[in-house]
Order: sequence, then structure tokens, then C-alpha cells
Amino acid sequence: MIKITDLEKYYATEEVRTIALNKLSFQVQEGEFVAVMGPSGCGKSTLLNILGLLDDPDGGSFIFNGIEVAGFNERKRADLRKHNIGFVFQSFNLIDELTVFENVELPLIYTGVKPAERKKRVDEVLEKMQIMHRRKHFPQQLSGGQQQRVAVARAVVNNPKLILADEPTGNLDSSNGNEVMDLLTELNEAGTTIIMVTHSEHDAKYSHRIIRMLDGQKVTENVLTEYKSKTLEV
Amino acid sequence: MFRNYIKIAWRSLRKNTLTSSLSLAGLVVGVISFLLLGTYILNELRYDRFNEKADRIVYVNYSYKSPSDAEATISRYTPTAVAPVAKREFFEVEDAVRVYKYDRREVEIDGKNFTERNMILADASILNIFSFDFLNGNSKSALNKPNAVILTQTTATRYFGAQPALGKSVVINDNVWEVTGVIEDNLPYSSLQFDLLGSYQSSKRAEREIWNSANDHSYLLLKDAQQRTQVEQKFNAFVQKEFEEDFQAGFKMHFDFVPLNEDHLSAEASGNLKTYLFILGALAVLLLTIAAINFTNLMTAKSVERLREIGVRKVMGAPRKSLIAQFLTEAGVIIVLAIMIGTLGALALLPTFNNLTGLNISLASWDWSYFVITLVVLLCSTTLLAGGWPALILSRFKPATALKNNTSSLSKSGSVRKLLIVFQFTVSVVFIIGTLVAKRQLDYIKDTDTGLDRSNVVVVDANGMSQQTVESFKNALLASQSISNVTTSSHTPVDMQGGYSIQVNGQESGISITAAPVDKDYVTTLDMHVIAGSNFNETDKMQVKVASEERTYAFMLNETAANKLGFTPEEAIGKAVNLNGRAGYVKGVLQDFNFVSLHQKITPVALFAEYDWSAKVLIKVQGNTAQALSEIQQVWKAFKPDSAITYSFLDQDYQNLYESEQRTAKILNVFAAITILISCLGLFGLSVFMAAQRKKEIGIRKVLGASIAQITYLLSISFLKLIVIALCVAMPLAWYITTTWLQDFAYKISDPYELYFLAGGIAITIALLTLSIQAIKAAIANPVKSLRTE
Repeated sequence: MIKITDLEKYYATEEVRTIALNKLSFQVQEGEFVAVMGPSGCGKSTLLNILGLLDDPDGGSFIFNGIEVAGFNERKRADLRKHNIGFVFQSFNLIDELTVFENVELPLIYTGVKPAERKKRVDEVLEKMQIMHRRKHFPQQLSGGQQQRVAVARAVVNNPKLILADEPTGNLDSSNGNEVMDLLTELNEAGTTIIMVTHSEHDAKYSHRIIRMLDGQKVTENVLTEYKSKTLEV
Repeated sequence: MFRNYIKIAWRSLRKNTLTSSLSLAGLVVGVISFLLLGTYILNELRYDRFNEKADRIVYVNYSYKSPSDAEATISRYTPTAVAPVAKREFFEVEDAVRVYKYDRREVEIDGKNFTERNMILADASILNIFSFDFLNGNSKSALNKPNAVILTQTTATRYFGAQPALGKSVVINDNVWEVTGVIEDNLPYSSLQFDLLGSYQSSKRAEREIWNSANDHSYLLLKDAQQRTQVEQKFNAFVQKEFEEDFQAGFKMHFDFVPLNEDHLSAEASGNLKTYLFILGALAVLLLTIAAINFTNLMTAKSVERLREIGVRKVMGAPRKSLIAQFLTEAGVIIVLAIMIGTLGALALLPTFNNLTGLNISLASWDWSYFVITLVVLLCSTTLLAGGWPALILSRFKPATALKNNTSSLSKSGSVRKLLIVFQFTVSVVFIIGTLVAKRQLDYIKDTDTGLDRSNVVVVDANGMSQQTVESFKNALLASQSISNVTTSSHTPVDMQGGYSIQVNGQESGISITAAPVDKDYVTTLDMHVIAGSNFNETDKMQVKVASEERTYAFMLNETAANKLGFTPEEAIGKAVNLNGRAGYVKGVLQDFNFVSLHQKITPVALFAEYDWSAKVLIKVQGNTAQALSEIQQVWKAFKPDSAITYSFLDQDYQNLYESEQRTAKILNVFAAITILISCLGLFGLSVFMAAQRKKEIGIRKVLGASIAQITYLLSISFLKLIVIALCVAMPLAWYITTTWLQDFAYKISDPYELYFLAGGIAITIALLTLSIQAIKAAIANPVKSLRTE
């Protein structure tokens, strides 16, 4: 599903050029659950931004679903993104002015789903995330765990093929954290590909494979569970 | 989707109460000011245009010059012959009307007395030429007979209450008149303003067509507006032919046909009004711009906090245009609210505005469709300006950057914001300086010693009294305790006109001079200062009664005249002179005095003692003015029982020379204050925002030992710098504008530089006060709190 080859990303200020990604290469198969680990500043978040089509690489190739997307402009990236990728952030990134329902509804509005259909799908996903009773609340009125559940609901409401999670349990206590990890595992088992950036060895163990990074490069790769692709990779 | 935008807009409005209400308040004040000033300007621009035939109506201005005059005198009044001759002799003229001010009439209805100051007489054709809304009576024939009078609705109600007025009799100056019509009150933007409109035939004036005196306003209705210049030329050619001999002798008469629609703004009708309207128009637009700038600044400032939201929306796939639409909607919601509140506010404040300006304008000056268009344009332009800028800036961010809430890349919009603050304060300071300078100049005009004392002088129109009657009238007045002096003249020192030329015997040529025949006590009544020679006496006055070849006139010159003739005041005394055939000698020299508005320089003046030129009686009163007035009226009744007295106060007449200046100054005062208020609202909003943004920084600095004063300084200095820059821009600009305006006055205050510093001081003080409220609040906040929230 994802194949990156010699991916490069620099951040330049007036005086220094920092290399965030240094000829990074790896593949992720459809349905896989991959954890990316490494110390702060090793390039994990940059990688996630590029994989999520939020940012463009400075060099190398990025093939998403068989299409080279490295040179895509913002509009094309946005289009691809909204139909295929869901995001879960450490800080939830819910919009304070919108209710739980409206937050989850947002991706459906942008993909042009009709109101009736939107309501049905949002209700379904809220039900699944067990947060239906909070649908009219605003984010500030929820606990951290509840907020992250809403964020996960928002990430999956469009049935994306890929979920990118950036430290999804970083702001949660352990029991709420475990709940979120269980949720992600369930989604993965239902077929969604997940790439998760994390500092937590505990969370990483939920994945099939751990990629460890340092200074923008891949250092090691540990396969925890042999993942058998349901489709044949070409 | 749009509903979604509105919903978000409403919620974010309610969430950010302070910024929202600041932007809203600024915009509301801006809209109110814009509508009030706009109404005022429109009122002036739309003058008379409501008349259905307005584009074909011309107003006749009259200018004349005698052989000795250096320049022609332009008059708004025309001889009684003009209108009937124009209609009779020129087929291009469809109709013509004379309007005669028939003011200060005593009206009696069933034993009740009313003094009417606002009655006019006009030919019946006025009903054909101008548009009136008749409530009762025949709109075509109401003025077809003598002693027919049309009342405005207010006058009719005043006279007869709820009773129908039509057909009733009223006694005007002891004659019985019949009410033949009742019309809606005059529109405030009509140049015809009256309470009673009588038929011209009621006056003896109608009996003769004369050319040698001018007291009517004449209006012509042309068949085709395009023919105006052509008819004007033909008419003047006709007059020249008619008075061929006079023209050959050097007399000149000229009639200008001014389109009615242009007349009100012409220099003849209203002086500098056009310029002042331009200034006020600029003020209206600038005020609104400043309010919109506040709004833009607060929106951009505030929207930085929403960068994360924008990031999230982008991640969810929001296209850029949808974000732009969202910001525009949010701006639009506030602006719609502001326009609604502002329109109501303008309606509510209109009476106060009218009170202030002494006008009677109404929102009815607006054509309804224009009003709506203006509001829509206002809405769209302000929304684009205030919502468009933040929308463009913020929607440009890459989602990854936006999510990090990285505001450092927003520094660009910060510099635009700074530029906008500089602009606001530049405008404010220019207005402060302008207002201060205008006030000082107008005070200068009011208080400056113009060489004579205009206070407590009542000017009574002698209204055709014979010279003997005038003398007795004078003596009767002087018997009163409350009258200290009485004199007569053809002109008061406010409207002295007339070009003569004076020549010293033995010199080759003379000089042009303004001259007026006066009574012997003119100089003492007006407290003019004799600097050489002596004042007129009875002998001087009686000398001119002798046979013309033996007549010797006594002259008093002003200092300028003496100098122009080449003498010091002392040398001039006794010199034999000749003024347009009047031989005589210089008896005295007066200190220069102003006899026209201070727009004009003092020119040479000669007063000469005369016996029979008593159009105006000037009465110096002492003690209780009301008491004196009633005594004057009693004496008048004894002499002229059948005509009402016409009087005015000399100092008021003088003030009226500056009517448009005074009014503009009043309006400027108020709106300059509003400009500063709105600018400060914006500054306050921004300082609140900046303090919030630098909360963490302030916390850290405080933990590290910064004092409250240091923090306050830190927060205020960047704004203060901007205000200093604004001062530097504003001062030369204000200098240019005020100097240009002052050039219009021959007598003016000299470079009032201290006012510039005063204005600068005011601006900085107000800005500092505004800023310090927030800076001190931020500085004394507990740093632990601000650090914890991060």
C-alpha cells in the first residue's frame, strides 16, 4: 500500500539546514499495523506528515496505492487525503466550537456526503465508540479519553484505508490509553492499515512490526507478528 | 455548508466576547457616522432635485457694474422685470417665476396673532415650475388671484388645529387673505423654504416691471435644458440692446442662468460648501475605513489562535475556498449586525445631529434603493476588507504548519497590522490638528478686534420711510432709556458693497474704493476708532443739502485708503478729493475695520456724510435687550402702523458670514472625537490580544525578576513606536491641509505649531492610557498561572 524510497526532508532556517529524513525507505502492506519509534527529533512526526500527505518530501519517492504522490500539489494531496486517510493526534485536535457530533461529521462534509447519510454514519460510529450519549457536548466538556475516542471516531467515519496515529495515548492515563489501543487494534483487525508513531514500548507491542528511527534514518525493524497480507503485493 | 459557517461564526462571536464587542462597537459607531455624514452630504447634493422639472429650471444670478466700479457686483437678487420679460420675449422659456421674501408679517386669525418670519410671494407659475404636494386646494390655480395664500401643513395646523384650513380667511398686515391651498411641509433639501406662500399679485411690486432695483429671486423653466447657454446669451443681448445708452456710458448688467441642480453648491449660493462637503465625505469614508481596519486587525490577531482549527479542517480535507468562505461569513455576520444596529442608531441620533448642526435633515434624503445599495456595498466592501485579509493569510498555511500552531510565519500579517495602526493614528492626528486649527481660526474671527463693535446693535430695515420720518423715528428711539445711540446708512458694516473710485485733486488717477453714505453718528454708534482728524457732525450732513454745484462732502477714509492715496493718516486730513463726482475733503481717518468676512482683505473704504440715504437704521442698545426690542417695536408701530418691523442683530449677521465654516467645524469636532475613539478601541483590542499571546513570555520574565514597570514598558513600547511614526506622517499632512484651508482667509492665525504638539500630546496620552490598562493588568497577573496554562 505504501512504498517509500530514499525519502528526504530538510528544514532550513537562515543559518542551518536540518535533515529530518535522510534517504528513508520502507514499505507497508495493506492491513498492516506498524509502529514507528525513536527519540525526539528523529523525524517520526515529519515522516507521519509526509505519509499523511500533509507535507511534501524534498526528495525520494512515495508511492501510495500504486500512485507516485511525491510531486502532488496541495489540492491533489487534499483530495487523496480526505478519501483515504484518517488521523489521530496526541492532542486530539478537536475543534472547540463544534459539538462531538459536528466534529465527527466534518470529514463527511468535506467529502460531499449528503446530510441524511452523514447523520446515519456519524451516529453509527459514535455508537461504536460508545460516545453516543455525548454527541451534543463540546470537546471541553469531555475527559481526555472521551476526547480521543471522538478523535478516533472522526478518523474512521469516512472508512479510510489508512489511519495515521501520532502518539495517540500521549495525553491519556494508562487505562484510557489501553482503551484507545484496543480500539485501534479492532479497526486494524477489521482491515484498516495503521501507522502509529509512539514513544511507548507498551503501545508498540500492539503492532505487527516496529520500525526504529534515529536522525532521519531507519535503524532497525522488529517483526512482532508475521503479517500475512490478504492481497498479494505486486 | 453555509448554515454551518453561520453557526460557527455565531459561536466564535459569543466565545470571544471582548474582541467581538470591540469590533462590533467600532463598526457600529463607524456605520452611524457614515450614515449621518452621508445623509448630510446627500441632503446637500440632492438639493432641489426632487422637483420633477428640476433639470429644466434655471436660477438667475445678476451682476452689475457702474462705470466707476473696478469689479462687477454679483447679486442673488434680480429686478422684477427679468422673469416676465424672459417668458414673453423668448420662446425657449416655457415659464418663469419671481419669488419675493415677504418676511416678518403679522398674521391675525380670529383675534390670535402670529408673527411670521417666513412668508414668500410668488407668481402663480411657481406651481407649474416647482413640485408641491397638495393636501387641499387646486394645485394649478391656487395662486391665480391677489391675496391668495397657500399654507404648509404645519402652519395650517398652527392656525386652525384639526379644522380644515382651505377657504378660511387670515389677516396679513391688516389685509384679508384667503387660504387657497395646504401643502406638505417643505423638504429640508429644497431651496424654497417658507411657511406661507402668497400670490405675487397681492403686492404692488407686481404692477410694474422695473430694472433698476433688484429684490426678487427669479427662476425660469426652459423648454429644453440643452438650450440654457443659448437662451442666456440671447437674454443678455436683449438687455444690452434695451439699455444701449447705459452700456455705452460704461454700465454693465449681466444675467447668469445657473441650472437649479447646481445652484445650491455654487459659490454664490453657499461659499465654500463644496469643499466642506468634500472634507466631510472623506471623513465619513475614513471613519468607516478605520472601523473596518480595527475589525481586520482584531480578526487577524484573533484568528491566529485558530490556526490549529484551520489545520484540523485542512487535514479533514477542507479546500482553501471553503476556509475563505468561512472567514468571510464570520466577518459578514458581525458586519450585518453592525449595519443593523448602526442604521437604528443613525435613526435615533438624527435629531441630535440636527440639533448640533442646526439643520433639518432626514433619512428621507436617501432614495430607498440607493440606501439599500449603499448598505450592501458597505457590507461587501467591509466584509472583503475585514474578512478577506485574514482568510487569505490563514488559509494559505500548510496543514502540518497550522497544526503546530506555529505563528512565527505570521509575522508578515503583523507588519500589515502595524501599517494599519499607523494609518489609523495618522488619520486621527490629522483630524485632531484640523479641528484645533479650525477652532482657533473661528475663535480668532469671532474675537478679533475688527476695528468696530458689533455687539448690541439692532439693524432695522427702514422699509421706505422718508428721510424726515427717519429723523423723527431716530429721535423717538433716542428717548428710550435702553437705547444709547442711533444712526442710519445705506449699508451695515457686514454687507457694505459698492465700487466707487476716489481721486485726490491734482493727482492723475484715482483708486477703487468701497464707499457708503452714512449718518453723522455712524462712527460713534459702531465705536470705530478715529486716528486722525475728527468725526462727522451735523454741519457735514447739512452741507450736502445745498445746490449740487456748491455741495461739499466730508469724507472719512480708513487707514488703508489713506495709505493707498499716498498719505499718512495725518497728512491725509484736509486733502481735497473727488468720489465719483462728489467733491469734498478728507475730514478724518479711521483705524481699519472689517466690513466683509475675514476671508477678504481689508480694502480702501470711504464713508461720507449724507442726508438722504437711510435704508438701514442701526440702533445701539444697552441693558436688557428684550426690553429694548419691545420698545423699538412700539416706536416702529407708531411710525409704520401698517407694516411689520424687519430687524436683525449685527453680530449675528456677521457670524452668518461664516455659517458653513461654523457648521463644518461643529461636525468636525464631534467626528474627530469619534475617530480617536474608534482608533483607541482598536488599539485596546490589539493590546488585549498581544498580552494574551505573550502571556507565557511575561510569566517567564516575571519569574526571572522583571518589574511591573518593565513589563508594562515591554508591552506598550511597540505600539507607542507606531504612534510616533503616525505623528511624523500626520504632521506634514495636517500642515498642508490646514495651510490650504487658511489661505482662504485674508486674516488668519499664523502658523499654530503649538497646536501640532498639543495634538501629538493628546494622541500619545490617549494611546498610552488605552495601552496601559491592558499592559498593567498583564504585568500584575500571577506568573504561575500563565506558565501553568501553557
